[in-house]
Amino acid sequence: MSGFKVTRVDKGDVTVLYLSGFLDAHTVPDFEKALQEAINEKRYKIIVNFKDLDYISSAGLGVFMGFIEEVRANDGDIKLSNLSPRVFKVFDLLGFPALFEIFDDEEQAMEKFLKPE
Amino acid sequence: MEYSYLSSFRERHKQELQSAELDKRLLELSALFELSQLLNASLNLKSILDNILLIPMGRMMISRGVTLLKREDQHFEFANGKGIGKEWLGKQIRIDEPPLEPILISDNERDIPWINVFRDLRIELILPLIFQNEHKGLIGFSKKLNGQPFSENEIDFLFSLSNIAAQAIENAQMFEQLNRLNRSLDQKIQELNTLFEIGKELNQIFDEQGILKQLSFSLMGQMLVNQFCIALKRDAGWELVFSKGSLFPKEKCSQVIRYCDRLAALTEPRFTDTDSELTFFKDLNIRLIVPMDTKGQVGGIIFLGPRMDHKPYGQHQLEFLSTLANITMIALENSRLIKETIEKERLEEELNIAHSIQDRLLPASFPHVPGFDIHGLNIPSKQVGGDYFDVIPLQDGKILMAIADVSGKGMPAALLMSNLQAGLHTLCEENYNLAEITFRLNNLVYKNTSLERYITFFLFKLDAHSGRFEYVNAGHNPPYLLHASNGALEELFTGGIILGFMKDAQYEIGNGQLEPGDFLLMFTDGVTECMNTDDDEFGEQRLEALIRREAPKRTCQDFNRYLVQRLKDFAGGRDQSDDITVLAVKRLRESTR
Repeated sequence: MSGFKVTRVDKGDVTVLYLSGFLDAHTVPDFEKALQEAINEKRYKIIVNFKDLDYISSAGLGVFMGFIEEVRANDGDIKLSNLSPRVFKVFDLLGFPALFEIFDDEEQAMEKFLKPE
Repeated sequence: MEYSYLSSFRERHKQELQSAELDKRLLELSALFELSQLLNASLNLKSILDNILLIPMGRMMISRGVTLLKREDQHFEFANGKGIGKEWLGKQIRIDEPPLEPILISDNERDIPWINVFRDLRIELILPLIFQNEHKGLIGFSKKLNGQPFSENEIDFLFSLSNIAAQAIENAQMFEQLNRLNRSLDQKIQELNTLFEIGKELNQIFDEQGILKQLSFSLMGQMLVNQFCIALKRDAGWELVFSKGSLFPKEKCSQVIRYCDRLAALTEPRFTDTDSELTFFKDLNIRLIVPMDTKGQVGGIIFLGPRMDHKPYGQHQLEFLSTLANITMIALENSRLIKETIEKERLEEELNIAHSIQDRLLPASFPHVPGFDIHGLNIPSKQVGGDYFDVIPLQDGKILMAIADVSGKGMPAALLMSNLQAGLHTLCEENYNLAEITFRLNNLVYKNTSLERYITFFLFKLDAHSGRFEYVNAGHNPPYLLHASNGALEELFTGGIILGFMKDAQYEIGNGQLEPGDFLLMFTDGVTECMNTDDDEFGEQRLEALIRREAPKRTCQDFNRYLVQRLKDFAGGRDQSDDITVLAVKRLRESTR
């Protein structure tokens, strides 16, 4: 199996998680752990950058759903950026664009956090 | 490009083109040609609808235009509009007999509701959109800004245009439908992938929480729901095993649990809002109840709250949920069976260890004591009952014997027995009398065990030269002493309370004399409480009779084996529930020495 890796970089108030490889039922616990750690530190402004992610399954999307309520209850958000067409298709098919803000690149997402309208 | 046809046409028909009327006609034709190319090159419905209105409006100076598309039955929806209020878009009107030819509203005096709608909108000309004899919709235009009425030619031109447009709309609609089908196919594939993936993953997880976690990820990712809880049916009743989201705090879920039994007959997912029996669940924010099937029975239930995008659950999602619920149930069932197997193996392993502990603690052989015949026997039960006996030749030439029954079974009993054995072997060579030894053993056991653990214990010391003996009975079944002289059976019960029950308990020493031919049988309750299939105990009376009858004519080993065989016969196939232990001593007669 192709591996999955999540790398965390804190940029000021915003935590950016860089995903790479395959995010499926098998690797989902790793991603969940990374998100949980950020939230445990009360870092509720999160960007997930999908630049190097090859594949995501609905279990992977489930992780976002699992945290979004808590994050938004604390005035934060999870924003998504740099989705490849293949990855975006899964988000789109399952109706995620209605619930999550999706950006072409990380800077736009960052800007939205820094200068909310 | 579009004009190349027109310019070559002009070139070839120079003379005929003198007439301005013809020239105008040609321009119109070229416009149709242009529009036709434009419309048919596009599969984008929005751009087609825009062009249908904007091209004529620009050419003829028309300020308002609408396009209506036919929906179900006789209903037409405002799909596009120029120069009219945005609020019209999406509205539907009923048109019972839509026109098949262009009509002018001002010519039409009739009071028909749909015509009045157009009249109010100041629409003058209505053209049908017809494709292969099927009404696809209507186009409407207001009067021209120059106040001139629509000429015959103009109407012809617009009618031709509407025919071309109908074809283009049909194409675009087909294309949209194809896209929709493709998308729903993609969604189906996505669902199947999810099921396939979770099925594969669940085969590798054997703990319940791990399985439920995977289920929750799939539910959340695939269903866009992050409000749910899961209950499983245990031997003791329903239990909440998982909950997620602010709508389902623990205390609320416990209310759900109380009503689970009512759902035991569910065979497929149920919506709470369409079923009056399920109002209770609806009031708890539960929208959908999904049973988890195991061998035709409801083994668990998933309660789903509202979806995060507030859309209702679709019919096709119910299939997915059912399948997901059922494969999860299979995985849970498998994990339970595997756990049971492992637990059973662990218990068996533990029992094996307990057996070997007991085995090592019991004497492998018996000392040769002149003038005496000594033999002990232990038949362990499957669960290892914790019986113990010992024969210890002391340095002063006396023989110490002990028999004990540790409460409980298995490993804990074996460990306590091991404690007792070690304590006894340490104390017996000290300068203590039997009461003092027992006093210390009692405190040792008391210190090392909880109240529900105790030991019945009998300690016996024999002077092989004289036949004198001392003993202490700490709550053990009194051994039987058969006097050869008169055939009387004596019970040795002097002593005190069982070991481990009371700190600093005091013990009394009993004593007596073994004469030639006398026989002493120490035993554990596995003998007297041996049960047959009618739930009768072997009991003291049978044992006493057996001693009187058989002991005089048998050696100790012979007697013990005979007794065990008799017990086996008595039980008649019923499993032995407790250890059977016997320790027999016989003083030999002079002649047989």
